[in-house]
This record gives sequence, structure tokens and C-alpha cells, in this order.
Amino acid sequence: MSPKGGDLRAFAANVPQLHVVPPRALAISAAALVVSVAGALLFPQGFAEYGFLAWLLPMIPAFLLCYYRGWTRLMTMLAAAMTLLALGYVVAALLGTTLPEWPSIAFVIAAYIGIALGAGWFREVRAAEGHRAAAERELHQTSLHLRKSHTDLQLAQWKLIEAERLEAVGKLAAGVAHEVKNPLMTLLTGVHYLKQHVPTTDEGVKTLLEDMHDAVKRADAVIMGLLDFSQPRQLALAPADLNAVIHRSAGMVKHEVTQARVALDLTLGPDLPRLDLDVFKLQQVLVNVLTNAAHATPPGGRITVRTYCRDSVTILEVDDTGSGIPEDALGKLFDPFFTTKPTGKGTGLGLAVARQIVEMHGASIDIGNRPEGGARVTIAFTALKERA
Amino acid sequence: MPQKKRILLVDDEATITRTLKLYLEGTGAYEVRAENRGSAALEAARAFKPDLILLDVAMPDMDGGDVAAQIRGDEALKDTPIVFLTALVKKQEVVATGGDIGGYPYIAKPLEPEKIIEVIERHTS
Repeated sequence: MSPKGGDLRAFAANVPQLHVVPPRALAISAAALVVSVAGALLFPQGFAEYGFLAWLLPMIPAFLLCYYRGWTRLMTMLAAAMTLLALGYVVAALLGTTLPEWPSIAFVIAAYIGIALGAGWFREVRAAEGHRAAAERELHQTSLHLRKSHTDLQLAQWKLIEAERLEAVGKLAAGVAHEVKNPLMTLLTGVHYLKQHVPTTDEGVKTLLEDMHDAVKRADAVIMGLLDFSQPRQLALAPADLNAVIHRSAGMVKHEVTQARVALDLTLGPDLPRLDLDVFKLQQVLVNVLTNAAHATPPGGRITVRTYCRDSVTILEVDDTGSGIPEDALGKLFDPFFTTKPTGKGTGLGLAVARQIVEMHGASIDIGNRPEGGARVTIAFTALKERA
Repeated sequence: MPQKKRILLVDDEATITRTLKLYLEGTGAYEVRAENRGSAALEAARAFKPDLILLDVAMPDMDGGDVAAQIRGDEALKDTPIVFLTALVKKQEVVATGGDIGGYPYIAKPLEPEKIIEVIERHTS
């Protein structure tokens, strides 16, 4: 019976029946055939005399009919009947006797009664097996649900802890920001005052003032990064063209790229679906990723931004031709305050913030080394609602 | 020589008022009066008659918002430009809000003093 349209599920439910029982019945009937054919060959006269084939042959098409219709119980009964019938004749032939017509008929009737009883027993066994299989399936389903609930619970717990942690860090950051930014303001104003009003020809003093200025800016960058990392975020999602966001972000890092003397190639897929994006937040991510790539790529190198769609997943890749990321750093890249840049060149918060933003889009970000050298950042927009 | 602009600088951080006063007065273009208590700002403004008030947001005795409300309620001072100084926001927020909170322009600390002068000039010219 071939499946049609929405009947596919019902058909699939029948498949185990067709495949669990028939092999047994087939084995029984095959045995019956072997025995009867052997009997017919060994004792052709006895078989011919009592019309063995007249009993056996109609059962074969009946058996096949049952098999293809999935009437497995009837099929089992027929198979058993064929076996008993054949065995009865073989035994009679072996004993060198011939069964008279009426005992033969009585034998067949007895055989069918036995078969009916056997089939009843078999049905019970099958029913018990069916119940057990159903119970096992239910248990399996329950186990799956339980496992999923456990995972969901763990995820919710993790999110709660993360939210509480971020709230605590946020409060701390706001407090630290206030307490640190005020002295930074004093230092910055003081350094500017000294540069303007205390003229000096001493190169050491000039360098010292520049270093103090840079130190203030660096401390300010760390504080701002911390505020950025810890502040609760809400995305303003709207359907947007990912490629347009990339173009804008590329424009924003033009200075960094030019300064690093690297080429920036955009190989953007023409037929990407529009995605629900917070354009400004995603720009922040891309600017961070592209700036990192520019810092990691030696002069003369190349940064390639690529977009394409595969299996309904929109993928954005940023490749550089730098030296790649040390193996021991790969697992820590998204940790707050972790940086591979020289001291003072990075706060270590850029990628932590980037991951937060990407994950809030329901997307994922991954960083790895390319076999041909250099690093690759992959952002996969898997969970985004796509719009045509 | 053009008349110096009068700036009232209110911030509970004495080091900030001291250095910023020094810097602004060092340009020769400003006369600065510093005040470290929010509650004293109104009286100081009435006496000093500033062209612009640089006002810290978070102060222990009276916050910048209350001080600004007092000044706006004073007939003689209500038109005096007020620019908030705050350490509680980020530069991105300054850009996003157009440098304006509650109808007042503001400066996010720490800001290069040259930029502070730009803001002062923008609101006093």
C-alpha cells in the first residue's frame, strides 16, 4: 500500500508491522516449502495420492496477499498451517503409510484448531510486545522531554546567573566609572594645561606628558568598555540588508585599514535574504572585528569580507592574512579583558561585547585559524527571522 | 580686548574645578568661578551672573538636576545656558542623544578641554 499525501505518517506507523512479523512468517513458510518440496521429491506417490499440492498451493497466493496487505496474524496462521500440513504428510510418508482421506481431513481440521490456538497465543504475545514497545516509546519520549527540560532549565539558570552577574557588574561599572572618570578628567585637563603653559624643550618631559595623556585615554577606554559590556541591552530589530551594514562598517574602519596598509575586499552574496538586525549594534560588532583584522594583518596583507547563504543560514566571514591566533588563546578570545594585542592597544572587551550582541540576534560568532594561514571570524545568522 | 566670558563651574570634585578653572582662565578668554556644593550654586550664580554654567550631575548635597531647576526658576538666571558635566554616560550615548539630556546639553567626562571650550562657545555665541 503506497503512502499518499498526508497519509505518510500512518504508513510509517505500519512499517514496523510489515517488517517485524513477515521475516518470521517467511521463515516458517520457507521451511514449509522446503519440507513439502523435499517430501514431494522423496515420496512423489504419497503426495500426489493425497493431493498435498491441492492444499498447499492455494495457501501461497493467500500468504502473499496477506504479506502485501499487512495481515500479519492471518499470514502467521497460514504459514503455520502450511508447516503442519506438510509435516503431517512427510511423517505419514516416512512411516511408509498413507493417510486415508478422513483422517487427513481430521488432521487438517485439528491443525487449524491448533493454529487458531497458537495464533491466539501469538496475538497475546504480540499484544504484550506491542504494549511493551509502546511503553518503551513513551519512556523514550518522556526521557527526551526530560532531557530537553533539563537543558532548558540549565540554560534558563545560566541566563539568570549571567543576568545577575551582568547587573552586578553593571552597578560596579557605573560606580567605578563615576569614581574613576572624575580623576581622569582632572588628569586630562592638567596634562593639557601643562602642555600649553609650561613650555619645555626637554624631549623627556614632552614624552612624559604624551604618555600621561595616552594613559588617561586608555583608562577611559577600559571604563567605557566595561560600561558597554555590562549595560543591559535591548536590540532595535528591523528588516535590513546585511551587505549594506557591511559597506557602512567598512567605511567606518577605512582609516584603520589604510593606516595598516592592508587591502579590504568585499565579496558579498547578491541574493541574501533581508534579516532582522539592530543595524547600529551590528555595525559595532563589525567595526570591532574589522579593526582586529586590520591590527592582525601585516602591511601588504588582505582582509576579505564574504557573505553567502547556505541551507537557509546567512553566513558572514572575515578572513585576514595575519599570523593567526595562538592555539592557547583560541578558547579565551571572548573572555572579558582577554586580549592578544600589545599592552595598551586593546581593552579586551571588544569581542566580549561583540558576542553578546551577536547572540542577542540569535546568531553565533566563531573565530578560528584558516588552514592556509590567518584567522577567520564567522558569524552565522541561524535563528533570525528571514523575510523575503 | 573682548570681555571675558563668565563661567560658573559647579562640581563636587575640587580637583576638577581647580584644574578646569586654571585651564579655562589660562586661555585668557574666560573668568571662572568654581563652586563645590550644589546647594551653593544658586547663590553663586546670582552673585556672579555667569554667561554659562557648567554643572556636575551627581553631587552629594544637591544633584545637578535640582540645581538646574532652581536656576530656571530664577527670573534673573532663567536664560543662562547650562551645560551638564557627567561621568555617568558613555561617548556613544552622547552621540546617540545628540549631547542632550532632559533638554540640557552635556559633556561626558573626561573630555579634552579644547572640546569643552567648543561646547562653551557654541552655547554662548
